[in-house]
Amino acid sequence: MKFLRNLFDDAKPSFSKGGTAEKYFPIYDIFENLFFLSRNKTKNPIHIRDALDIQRMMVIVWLSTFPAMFFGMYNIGNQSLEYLALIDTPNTGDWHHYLVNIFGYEPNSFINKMWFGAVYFIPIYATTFIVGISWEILFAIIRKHEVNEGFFVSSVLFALSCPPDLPLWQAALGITFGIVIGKEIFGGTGKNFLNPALTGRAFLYFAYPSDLSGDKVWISGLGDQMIIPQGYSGATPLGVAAETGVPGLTNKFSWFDAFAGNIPGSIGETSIIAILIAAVILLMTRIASYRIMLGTLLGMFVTSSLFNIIGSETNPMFNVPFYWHLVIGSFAFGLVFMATEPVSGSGTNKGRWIYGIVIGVTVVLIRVVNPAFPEGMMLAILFANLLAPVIDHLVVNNNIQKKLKYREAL
Amino acid sequence: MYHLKKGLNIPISGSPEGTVSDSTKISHVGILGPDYIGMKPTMMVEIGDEVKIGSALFEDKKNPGVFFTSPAGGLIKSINRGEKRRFISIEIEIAEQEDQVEILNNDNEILRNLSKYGVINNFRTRPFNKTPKPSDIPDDIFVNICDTNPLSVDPYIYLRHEIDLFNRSLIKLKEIFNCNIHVCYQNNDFNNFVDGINYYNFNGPHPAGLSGTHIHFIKPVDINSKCWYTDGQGILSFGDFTLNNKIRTSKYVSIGGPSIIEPKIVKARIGSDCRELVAGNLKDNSRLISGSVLNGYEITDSLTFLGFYHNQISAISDEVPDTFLNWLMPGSKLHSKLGAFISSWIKPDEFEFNTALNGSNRGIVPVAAYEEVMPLNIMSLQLLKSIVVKDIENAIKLGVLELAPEDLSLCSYVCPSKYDYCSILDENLELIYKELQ
Repeated sequence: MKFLRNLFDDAKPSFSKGGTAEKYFPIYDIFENLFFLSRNKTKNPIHIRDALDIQRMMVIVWLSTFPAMFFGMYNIGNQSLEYLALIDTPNTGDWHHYLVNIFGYEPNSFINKMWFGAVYFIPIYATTFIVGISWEILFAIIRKHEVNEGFFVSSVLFALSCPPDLPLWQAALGITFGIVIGKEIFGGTGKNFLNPALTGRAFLYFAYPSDLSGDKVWISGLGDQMIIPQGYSGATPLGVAAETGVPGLTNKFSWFDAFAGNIPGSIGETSIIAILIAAVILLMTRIASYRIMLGTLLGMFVTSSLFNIIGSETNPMFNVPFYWHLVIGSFAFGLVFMATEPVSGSGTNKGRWIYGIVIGVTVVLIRVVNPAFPEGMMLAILFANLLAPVIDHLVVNNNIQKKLKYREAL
Repeated sequence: MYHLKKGLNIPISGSPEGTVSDSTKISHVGILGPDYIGMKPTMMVEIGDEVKIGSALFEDKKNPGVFFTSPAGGLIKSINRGEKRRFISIEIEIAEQEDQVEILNNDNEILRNLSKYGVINNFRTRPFNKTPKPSDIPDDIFVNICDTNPLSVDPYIYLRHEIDLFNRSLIKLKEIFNCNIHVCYQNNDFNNFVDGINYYNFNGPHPAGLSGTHIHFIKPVDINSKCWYTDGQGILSFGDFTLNNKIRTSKYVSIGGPSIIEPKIVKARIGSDCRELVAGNLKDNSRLISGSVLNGYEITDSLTFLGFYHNQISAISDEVPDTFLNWLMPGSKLHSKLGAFISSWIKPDEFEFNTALNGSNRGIVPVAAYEEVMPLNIMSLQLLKSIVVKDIENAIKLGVLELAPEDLSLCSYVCPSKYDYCSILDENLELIYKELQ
């Protein structure tokens, strides 16, 4: 520790004002902050400060994604090895094969499953992280400010929201769009009005729909091998539900499978258990807003129940009950990680309830009555992001009007 | 009775308790420029001049007719100025034998005399937190005998000893200004009610004891309001002057904090040299603060005196240890409003604070803490954002005029992006004030 401290102290002058590498201070700052808390002191008039800083806050969110991340890796392996065993082809059909082959294609080995998942997930995450942080540093140098730790969260959430077989160049492109257009051109973390991770994800979704939707992308290797055995489908439960409704759904998956995460889907979204662990961490540390979470649940529950009551002969999604909506698709993932992003969400307590309800209602509307996209969570949250300033404006105006009336009454 | 739920009592160690003792003998007192917002002095004395208690030292150029008078008799020892000759402080060496200027208060002259002898400075206006103009007559005066600042003591502990003077002063205040007088107290034993004065009981966590909170709940101000506020000791100064023709030279001060060896309550000279007050009672490598840790001045060589509006002196460690991997450590000894540290679960009774900023400046991220420490009906996050970008039009709508910097100190305390909203508020209020002129 002492050695590290000395190392940083020795390097600091060259990165400080007037030093030879002054411009690159943000890079130095990232590394120093990684190991040591800044030595900044308080100034008049506030002499003591709460121990929480943005770094700690973001790292807690980042760590809370770990259960979903590790389960996601396991599940990639689990789903793909099962498929590859089914078609009896121990080969993913692309460059991943060389790495996967180190441990082999044994479909019942836990280690093989984890390794298989890691071979798929880690390159996506690494690409996302490296490309994203390069943009962050570039903007930090140009704007002369520090790199905001919010990036740790955006990058991991982006990576977890991708399908496992995503081409790496698309990951790079997606996070670039998310960071630059979704955040930096508006001034960086704290000033973005859209969730950066979702912005990148949505960009990919519309730019390359064949790589981000359909039945072929959720099982690694399926897209390359293109062998689909009789009765097999790589579709996500949500895709199945859109086609065949609850009977089709229960025929293929049990509710508990979907709850535990033993289903195809985006990397981090499948296990509700892992996401629940994150929800508990985020709510206990009070970093995420319980108002947004409850509002979203409420909106989803009411809207889906309403559709259940109305019913439909032709559209099987009408009859999907709320407890299935909860566990399929990215509802839970979006609810816990994306909707609660504080900057792009509503900034008033009343507004947070409304914002949550808007998401809950919209996601079911898109899932049920929209014929084009089976998944609605991503678009529902982005829609609510756009609506958040309006919601806040109304809430704030209401407060101002009430206060004016109160004053007049005095 | 107002019982507030939102807010935060910061559990800092070293709270003073017990009875009032006399302070050690003080040889120097001073008047601080930064105490008076927007004040520009016209000096009436020079270094080496002899002054009496109550002698005028300077007049406010921006507020002619308001004088600032000496709290002691003796010699003018130094006049300190900072950058651009900004007035910082005036230092007086106390003489062995002190005299007071002669004061003749009759009904015709009393209003003028309040300004002439600097007694009006005990009151401040809301909005803007400035000294009232000599011609001003308020509609409401708020008297604050609460204190919920960290390390503060309940003012009733010492006011009790002079409750008769306090009550007679209130009657006199009512007689002179003929306006509504609102007294806000926190002590449940308080029972000295005077006819014609309004009394309110406030309790709850900080900021339940701030005048800004009281005014907000009882009679919120707007741009046209003529509202003044003061504290219990301000009323005693006012009363001594109007009833006894005497300039008060002492006040009750609580001394506390983790770096104070023996926390206590003392009766000390107004404008005391803080270093003299804590001599022998302060640990090494400490930051001494006039005022509370949430709203005070760091005592430095040019700014050594007790602030005019401060009733406490605080001291905390100025040593910031290196924290290795702060983002990963459980943090059992670090205080935080939200639940991101283990300390929020094991809940130690007290924390030893130091002067660490605990992070560095980032963009504002809306966390729940801003709302949780703001009991006033004010959209805190929106207000903070609008003052940061100096959108004064919006800030006024959101209620910025109701605030003094101390009202935003908890928002600054909990801010994970480490903004100083108090200073930003000051700049905004100054900007609004200038636009109005």
